Amino acid sequence: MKLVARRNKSDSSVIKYRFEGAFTIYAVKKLKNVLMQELKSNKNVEIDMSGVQRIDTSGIQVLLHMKREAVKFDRKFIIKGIEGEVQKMTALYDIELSSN
Amino acid sequence: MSGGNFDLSDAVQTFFIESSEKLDEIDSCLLRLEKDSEDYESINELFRAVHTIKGSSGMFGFDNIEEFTHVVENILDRVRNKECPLDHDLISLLFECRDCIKDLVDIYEEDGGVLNADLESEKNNLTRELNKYLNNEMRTASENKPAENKNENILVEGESNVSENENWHISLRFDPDIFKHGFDPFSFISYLNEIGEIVAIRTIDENIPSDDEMDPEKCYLGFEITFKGNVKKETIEDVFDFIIDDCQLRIIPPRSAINDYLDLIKDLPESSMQLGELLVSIGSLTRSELEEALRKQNEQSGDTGTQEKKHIGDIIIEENMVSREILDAALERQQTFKKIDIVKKNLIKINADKVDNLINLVGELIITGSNIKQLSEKNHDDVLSDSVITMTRLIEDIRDSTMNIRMVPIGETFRKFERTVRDLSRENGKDVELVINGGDTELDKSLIDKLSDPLMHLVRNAVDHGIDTPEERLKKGKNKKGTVYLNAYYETGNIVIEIEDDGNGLNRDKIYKKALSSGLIQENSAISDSDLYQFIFEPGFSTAEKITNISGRGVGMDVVRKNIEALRGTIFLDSDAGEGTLVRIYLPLTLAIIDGFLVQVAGSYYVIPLDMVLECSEVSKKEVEGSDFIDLRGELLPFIRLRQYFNVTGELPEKENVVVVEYAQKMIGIVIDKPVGELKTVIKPLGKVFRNLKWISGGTILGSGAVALILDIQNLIQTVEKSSSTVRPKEAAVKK
Repeated sequence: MKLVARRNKSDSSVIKYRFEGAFTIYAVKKLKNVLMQELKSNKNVEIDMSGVQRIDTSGIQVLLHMKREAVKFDRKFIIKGIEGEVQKMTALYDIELSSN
Repeated sequence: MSGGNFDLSDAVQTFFIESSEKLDEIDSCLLRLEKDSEDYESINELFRAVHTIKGSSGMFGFDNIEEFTHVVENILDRVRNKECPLDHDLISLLFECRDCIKDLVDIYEEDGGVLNADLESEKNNLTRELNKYLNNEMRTASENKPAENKNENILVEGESNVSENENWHISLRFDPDIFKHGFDPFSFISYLNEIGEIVAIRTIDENIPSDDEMDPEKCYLGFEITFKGNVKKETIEDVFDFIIDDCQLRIIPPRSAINDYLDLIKDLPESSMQLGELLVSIGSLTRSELEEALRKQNEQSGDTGTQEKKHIGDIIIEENMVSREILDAALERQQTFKKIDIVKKNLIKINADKVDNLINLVGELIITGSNIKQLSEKNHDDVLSDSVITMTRLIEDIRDSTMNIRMVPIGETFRKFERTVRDLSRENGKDVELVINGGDTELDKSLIDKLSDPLMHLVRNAVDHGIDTPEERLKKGKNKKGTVYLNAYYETGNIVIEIEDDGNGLNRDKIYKKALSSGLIQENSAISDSDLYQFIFEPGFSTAEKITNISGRGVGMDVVRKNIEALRGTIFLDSDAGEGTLVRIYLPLTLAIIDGFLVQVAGSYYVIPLDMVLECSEVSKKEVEGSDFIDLRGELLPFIRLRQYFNVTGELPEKENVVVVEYAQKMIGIVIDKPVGELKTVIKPLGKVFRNLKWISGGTILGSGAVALILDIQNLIQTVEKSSSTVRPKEAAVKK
């Protein structure tokens, strides 16, 4: 299963991404690079995870990392659509990703 | 090992070496646990040692060892989980198990693993005993919940701070490459919910580095889990079995001592924030206690790093939340382990043969070096002489460093006796402590190996004969606990090892009578105490009324002396009735190379070990003729003439010289023709034919190719001692 990312620039201040497929170790390197690029270009980022059918711990780790980096850059990194597999994993790990 | 294509013989050898190390570790762990059965680190170390033996023996198909260690491991695991109290009986049993493992290993090493009936039955007996413990514990655990609780309470008796936490605590950190190895911690952690319930979990994400260094394919996460489940520790360990090489798993059973939690916290890499959070999540501290501690820390705003770590620790203590001792103990322990780690990291194992070979080569180098030196002197080539001097210095340095490789601290050998002392004192109903001083004194490895047996005998003697029973000791107004000291130190080119006890001392009358009856002394002959005591070392000399299984047979001490003398050493005994006995052993620093003093008698050369030489001076014919003593600045000094001793013929020189030598606090003079000079040389053993030569301990080859004999000063002194009873003791060294 592949990860498909759709970039959607609805307004100038927030970059929106929607992910579909496998948010896993095979994608994390690219994911991190792309998302960091967005943060560094002084944009707020919002991602929609509702299409993610599979996630692993490395995927969660990237999300945790992005949230922390966003604070550093004084940007927003919003995660939406936490459901299904993603929700299962965040629940087990007892982590809160959707809050800002 | 049949059918394998690999040559496993090397590996098997490693197994035997490793096993003997592990067995030593087991011994020392058990000894520590005997003093403090709550010493969690020792329990862990013990477990690991047994586990290692089990694992490797399984690898080589040593089924008997594997089988037996497996049972031992099981019981240790229970102890580790505090499911089984570690009482004195169990420790004794474990000591026996350790010995049984050793016997099993020996059998495999020597006889290829065919068990004799004795060992077989011992192994089975011990297995039965161990199983008793296992079954007992199972019963209490499964049938009777309250009883188990009670049990736990007994177990932690004396430990003031026990966590009320009824849950397991599981701490997980991962190898950064765990993702790449194809594992996802998620599957393992979620499996915990199948065997029990994850009550709370903390995902530790603070180790994720900031962006540039963050590699998303590496795992930086860790987990602290509070887990509830009526399971065995093994079951939890099994969950993580697949990733055991890729993670650090720490499991703390319910109701453990707070100490264990503190140990855990100290082990973890995270900062104090986590420390606080952890204490809360494991129930050691309540949330409000933590918050107060954090608030105080913020007020003082001492930021970042290790400083911060200390800080919160202090605050917690100030508030009496955790006692100072527990925290200190944890810190101290961690530091010692770090130290040991560093030492271990710097060690390499080499085959002793390689070192011996190197030493031989260095020996040849030294001889060649002095050859070149002589040539350069003969040719009066100044430039060459200069380089030769430099080279000689370098060769000496090489020699010293090479010899150093062989030097091993004697402490390890000493510590082996702790076990002996413990067993013996228990057997005899005595209370004896072994105190080791100078354990870092270094000795040649080959010396140490050969010393082990004689020392063992002396230590046993000290405990068996020297120290009296606690009742007798109390009667005499001594401390109930007897002490045996093992001391090691350097003294004028020698190493001195002392075995001292504060027991009964020798019975002078008995020894005197025995010496009389054995015809060693004449009736009414005056003999000093210390001379009398040396008879102890005569063959067949025993005054013990009762023969125990170790001592009293009168074979021992003479063997001890023979062993020590074979190492070019000497042994002395001193004793004060009622106060104790002291056995002192003098040994040369090394067996292979000596700094010698080269002397000449007619055409022959002799070498006197330099560290025994005190001085050298000319004497006139008049002084040495027809007498056995010379006047050395007003003191009488017995002397020998090498000419006479070795039947050297040849013209007498105009003036002879006397070399004053000292060994083990005795001095004599040796009259020679002329001194040649200092010489660093390798001792070459003489052939078998000359093995029994008195007065000569070896030979060496000079730069010129001539052979020089090395004098055995110790033997010479003894010979002189026997012929005249007035060997002059060195005043300063007279003890007591």
